[in-house]
Amino acid sequence: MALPELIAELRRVLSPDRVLHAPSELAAYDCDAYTVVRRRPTAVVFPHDPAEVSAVVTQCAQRRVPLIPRGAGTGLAGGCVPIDGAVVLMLTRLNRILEINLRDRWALVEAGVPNLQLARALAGTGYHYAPDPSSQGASTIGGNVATNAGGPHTLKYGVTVNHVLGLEVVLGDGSVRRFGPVAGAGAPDISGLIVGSEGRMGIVTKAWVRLTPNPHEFRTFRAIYGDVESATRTVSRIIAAGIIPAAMELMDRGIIGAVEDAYHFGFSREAEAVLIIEIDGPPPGLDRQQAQILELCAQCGAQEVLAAADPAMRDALWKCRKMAVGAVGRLSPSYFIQDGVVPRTQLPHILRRIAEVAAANRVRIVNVAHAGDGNVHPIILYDDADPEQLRRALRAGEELLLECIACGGSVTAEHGIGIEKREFMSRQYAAADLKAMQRTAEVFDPFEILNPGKLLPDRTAGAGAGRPNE
Amino acid sequence: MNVADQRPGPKLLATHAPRSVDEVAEIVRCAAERGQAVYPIGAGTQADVGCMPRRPGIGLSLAALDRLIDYQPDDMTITVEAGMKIDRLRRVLAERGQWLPLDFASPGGTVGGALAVGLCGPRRFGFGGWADYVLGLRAVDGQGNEFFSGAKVVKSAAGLNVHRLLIGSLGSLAIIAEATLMVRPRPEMQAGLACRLSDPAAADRLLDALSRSRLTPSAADLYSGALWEQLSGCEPTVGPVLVVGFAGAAADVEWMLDGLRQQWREAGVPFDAIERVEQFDALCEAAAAWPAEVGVAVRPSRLCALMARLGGVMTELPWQARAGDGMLLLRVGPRTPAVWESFVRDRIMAPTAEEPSARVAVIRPPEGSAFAPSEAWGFSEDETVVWTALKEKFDPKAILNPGRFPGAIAAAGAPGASPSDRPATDGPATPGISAATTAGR
Repeated sequence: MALPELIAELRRVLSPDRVLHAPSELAAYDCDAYTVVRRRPTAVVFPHDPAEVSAVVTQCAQRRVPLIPRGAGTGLAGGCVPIDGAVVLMLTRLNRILEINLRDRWALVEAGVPNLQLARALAGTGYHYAPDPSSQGASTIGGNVATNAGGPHTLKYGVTVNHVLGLEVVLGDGSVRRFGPVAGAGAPDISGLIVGSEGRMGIVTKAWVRLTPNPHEFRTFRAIYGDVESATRTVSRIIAAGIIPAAMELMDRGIIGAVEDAYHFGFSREAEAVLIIEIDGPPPGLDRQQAQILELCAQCGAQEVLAAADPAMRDALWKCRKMAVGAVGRLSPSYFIQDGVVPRTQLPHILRRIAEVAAANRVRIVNVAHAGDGNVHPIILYDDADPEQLRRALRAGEELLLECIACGGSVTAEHGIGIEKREFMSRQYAAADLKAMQRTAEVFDPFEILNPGKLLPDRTAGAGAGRPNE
Repeated sequence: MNVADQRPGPKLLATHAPRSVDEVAEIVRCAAERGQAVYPIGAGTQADVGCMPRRPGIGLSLAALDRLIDYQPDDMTITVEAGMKIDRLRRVLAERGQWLPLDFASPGGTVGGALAVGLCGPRRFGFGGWADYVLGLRAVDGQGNEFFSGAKVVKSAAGLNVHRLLIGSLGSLAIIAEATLMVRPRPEMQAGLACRLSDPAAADRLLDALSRSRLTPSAADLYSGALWEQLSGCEPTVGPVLVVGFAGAAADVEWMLDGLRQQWREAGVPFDAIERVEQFDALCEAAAAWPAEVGVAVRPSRLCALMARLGGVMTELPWQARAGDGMLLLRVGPRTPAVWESFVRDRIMAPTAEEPSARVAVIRPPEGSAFAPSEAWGFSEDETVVWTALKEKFDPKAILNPGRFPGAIAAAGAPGASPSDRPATDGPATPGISAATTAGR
């Protein structure tokens, strides 16, 4: 690969100050929030618009140099790790909200717009963009699209793919294509195919996202339990009663303790589990749902149920949930957050298995879960100064993912496959299933330069790159 | 029942009724070896959707693949084989107080057929479309490869959403054999309000007010006076009728109906122009079952402007419009193929071309009309390029439903096929994309 030549060309098509290639400048881009694997990129580029993105793709395609689109780098599965000397293409400078149209119920945003920036721009309009991953303060719409991001409110409102109406995408040959937002009668949903493809099927430059009317009212509850099973039983009973809450979030004793240490929300440290349940909708129906939920919590053995009395208290409850993972830093020098999903009714089983796996591998695991979706986030604690601990932590994570597959679930609900889980793809899918995915990706990325070695397991690119740092 | 029973179609040399997905794969594999066309058949209730295939081939009936594979009400998921009838699926779900919040064109149709056609009804606005309820699909591609895409749980980010391509593509990429669907609790009540209007401009004002309010309708539709009379059995009316419906707990629905009534009264709608629609569920089903021939998609805010452009067409033809989603559906009615075609081209396509966000799809072209699939489906150039390449990957011999859906132009050797005149931007040669690209424009 004629890398000096490539860098010279990139400096020409962008401008010299928008191409980083000195080793000292590249260190910050060697991983995303999955810090287990780090690799140094060849260069980092900062295009300003789709034409510049296209020019960069074309240069890399000509030389068959892999290219990794990157937003805020908050990904938890190593989707942005620049393996095989990739060029990192930063989308953060495509950061304009181009249109907010309430009548069409859509917003047109550039890929680098942070999720929260869109949320703020919509404040006061009566509408919101529903996907709200915990990373939303930093993570970008483009990154959310790439991983099909979820969040606590997906139980009722769905994940990113349910909220993307159209995309502008630069394909692997440098062509700029647009799919949607006006879907023809019966036209195929190509933008829905690109959502969740982790940069393998094009670099998203713009997205038309659906706006959802704000609920009339919220009711948010915090239920405290003396055991985890009672909490998960509550979740099942609420669903069985025909109620779809906006969110049902579970936190176990370990994470509650960390949250208390960090933020002093006033949780009892004796609690084995906390459920945060939120319902929303027009006021008349909420009264009945609230009564049902309080009754079900009590029947299932909740020790205490607190209803948020005002918006400030609701915000505090959500803050505690969304900052829970950050609080884990107090428990351990290092940790990684796992993401798996099982059928909701298997939640008690998978939580029991998590405890068993932790004990067998002599690691500490604390849990948060989007319980209504059966989506668990075991957080595995380790000390990265001790390679043996890291090995045991990784092994525990692998065992949990295999258990999710065995339960009929999936190795990721919302974080994506990235580099972390690509070897699990062949455990979850048959060879023919992966081949169908591979053939689909080839259409969009004929030279196999877009984030190769991620998401799909059966390629030579990045062989062995999933191994932890030496 | 097969394609041929519904209307003149391709000559079926034989019709197979496989009893397993393996048998489906085997039949397709044999057909691929011989380059023989394969026409997947559900219940045949929507055999008139799409262009008319001409190549003789074999019919592949999925009627015998009708098993309920797994239903977990507490997980809100169900897995069924493609040949299961919609009305049976609904019965199974109803026994547990659940439903699939989609409008079905025909309860006698099959799950696989409804997915392959992919058309939605009024409640798409509030509940989403097929793609929002399909968690995973098992399918057989044009070379007889069986594959699964998606997951069996309500949330998964593992792998590519290949299954989304199979929804609405009429079995032209792969034949759907099994579907895992997300289901929901059935709402306690569904009801709406209808408002008789003088003209589409009046509808525009009410729709604008609706979008600024905090009401959350399950559907917001316009009907021509004639169609409204036919679907609702109500008194005839000259101008269009706006119908807004809600679903949910009875108290919520009543609360929103009150809010809507007040909104309309404040907008100056006379008291006697508003009527309550109790059988809203049935109305949505009837609207979805109405066999629209032409669909014009447009950004919702431009729907009424589009109707103004279409002028006399809006009074001559029966129509309905999904005002929330931006979709105008029309029936041209019985005319000779040539007259039908020129009406669509001159009176619908030409004025629509002036509206930048709009695109026309010919959903049910009559036998003998000359619309090629890519023109009939109104694909953009970007869609055509990608779809053609996908077709090459999944059905390289172009045996699946050839001629009914876009994509197989090169492989079918259609006259007029030529290499793309749109090279990648200063790019290198593109084996995956441009080699498979043919003009369909």
